[in-house]
Amino acid sequence: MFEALDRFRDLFGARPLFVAVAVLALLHVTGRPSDRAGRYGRHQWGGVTTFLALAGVASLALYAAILIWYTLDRHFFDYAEPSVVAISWLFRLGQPVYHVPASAERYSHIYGPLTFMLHGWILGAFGPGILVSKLLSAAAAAAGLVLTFMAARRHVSAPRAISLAGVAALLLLGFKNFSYWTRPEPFQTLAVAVSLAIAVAGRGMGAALAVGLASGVLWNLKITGPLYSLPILVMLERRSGWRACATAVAVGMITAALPFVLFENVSFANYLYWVRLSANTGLLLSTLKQNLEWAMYFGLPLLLAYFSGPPRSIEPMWVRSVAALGAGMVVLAIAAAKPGAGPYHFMPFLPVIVYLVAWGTKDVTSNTLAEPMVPRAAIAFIVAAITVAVAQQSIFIATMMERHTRDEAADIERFARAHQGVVEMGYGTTEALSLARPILVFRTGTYLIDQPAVREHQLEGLEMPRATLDALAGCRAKYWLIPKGEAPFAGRNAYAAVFQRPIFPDGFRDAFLASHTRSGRTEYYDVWECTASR
Amino acid sequence: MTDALPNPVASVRWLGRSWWVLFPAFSVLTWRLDIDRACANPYDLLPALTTNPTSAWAVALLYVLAHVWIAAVYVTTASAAGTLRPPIDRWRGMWGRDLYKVVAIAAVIAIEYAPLELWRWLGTMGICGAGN
Repeated sequence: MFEALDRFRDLFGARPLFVAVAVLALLHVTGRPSDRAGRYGRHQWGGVTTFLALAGVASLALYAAILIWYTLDRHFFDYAEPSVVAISWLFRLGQPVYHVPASAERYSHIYGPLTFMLHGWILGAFGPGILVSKLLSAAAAAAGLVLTFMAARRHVSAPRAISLAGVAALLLLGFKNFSYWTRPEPFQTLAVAVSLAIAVAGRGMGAALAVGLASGVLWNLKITGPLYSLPILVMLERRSGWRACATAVAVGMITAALPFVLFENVSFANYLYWVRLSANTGLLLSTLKQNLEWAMYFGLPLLLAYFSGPPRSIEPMWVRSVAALGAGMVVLAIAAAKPGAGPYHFMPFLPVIVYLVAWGTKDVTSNTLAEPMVPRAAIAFIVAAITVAVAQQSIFIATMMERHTRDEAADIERFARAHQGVVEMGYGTTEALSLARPILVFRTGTYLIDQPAVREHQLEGLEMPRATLDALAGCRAKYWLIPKGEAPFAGRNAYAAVFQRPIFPDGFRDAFLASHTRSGRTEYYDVWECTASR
Repeated sequence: MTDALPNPVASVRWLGRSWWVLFPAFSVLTWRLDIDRACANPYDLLPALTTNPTSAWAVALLYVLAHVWIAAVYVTTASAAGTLRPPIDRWRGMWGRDLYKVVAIAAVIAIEYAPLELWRWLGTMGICGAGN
């Protein structure tokens, strides 16, 4: 079944622009001759708005249902979600978010510190748990959609704003769970939505300060953050003037820098080191091509909005905002072509796109529709979004349902309760059973090896330091849980430049095998006990 | 509808001039990419260039600019015509003798977006020789 789903996803799941063009061509060919001549465009508008409303409301309901279903499940879907949660707990305990390059620990990622701090604070407030972190991300994603609706509502009626927010939800469904996973994207989208809502509703210095604060959070979350702010700053300038815009930028920069200044365990020097190292991995042109397709697809509603209104009805400021958005998207298309990145980096642009579509179509009715092709193109856009969402969600849901049949969290907790000494999660040839690793980090407050980080470090050409091998051989962890029946630390790298290379070097695996013996089994794991110091 | 956009005459002039820089470089890049698609790892194209951040960004910028160029051509023409489907007369009227530039870049982009299977098949047909 997975193979069939994979094939479906390969064909339709990543090519929304081509699906949209194909659907549009099909609608054109199969349409009545009078439709092809475009005379019936205005009559189609009513049907299209109904279709959009139905698709939007259904998408919102589906999005909410899947978001709740995933959030309440103790399993993760993505391999880096547990990494964020585990490091966040380390931050809460006062340990470094970015360790020094030569340290024994191998867990540093290039996400900005607020990614970990926000989760760390919430874990501290409500107690450590996977559910707590998932709830935070889900709340951020939901709030982002609500604010997107509110921004759109400034220009269009509530039903149309709901339709547009629903289309945003439909597009987010095309990225599996990425819009509410425990990585930075939910916070990014929320920060964009907050700064947008303030920029288009507020005025003067108050608005500038608030936009600056939200933008600072956004810029801190990822190094590409400022690209998402470009259209928002243009809109702020329109309402509040350039002084307000400059104030927002200054406040944003200070806000983005504050975590490095205020927290000793958030080292700017180390963060910069890891970001620079990551920047050296170059770009993947196959990913760049995919990014451009998605950028053009996300730009399609803006094109339709531009042509839907009566001639000369579009305001110059709308065009300027779209141009700023386009500039941000073009540069992001390149930045997101880094190995491991991809089109999901466009998700935080959605609140701005929805707002601009609402603004651009605010006066459009069946009587004022200028371009008869718009209704048909809008249908093609939605059909493509549905196709992609179905392809991606089918893979996501099937994977999660399979994971739902296991309860490795209880297995891990049972083992940890019954044994003295530090227990760490190890890795085998597969990855799914290692995703519950935050449970151990919550108990022990230690985290020696994060496989996603090691995989990235290998791509960056970074050797495993001596300190890590010493920590391994010196029994820093008494027990390692390795997925049952799998060779310890035998995974292979999937990044193209180091494809199929062993993630962990021979020296690491030799040190592990020389100092550990398999001493038992749990329901899901082999237990490897450190014997070197006995 | 054109009030909000830059003057189409100026846009046509700038796009026409920039073509002389973009087209040759983009054509060569597409040719090299297609060779890699046919004869090497299609998911790690031009690794010698793309693993170095400076050359990777230069290549990526060229690739993106070619797309921006054709998108700008379309938006300028469609906006001047006031329709999403500008008739051929509008294209001729707007671009005049420079219409071949639009056709040439569109053709290269069409080649660039040809299905990967086509390049893999060509790779098996013996095109991966000394040129690679």
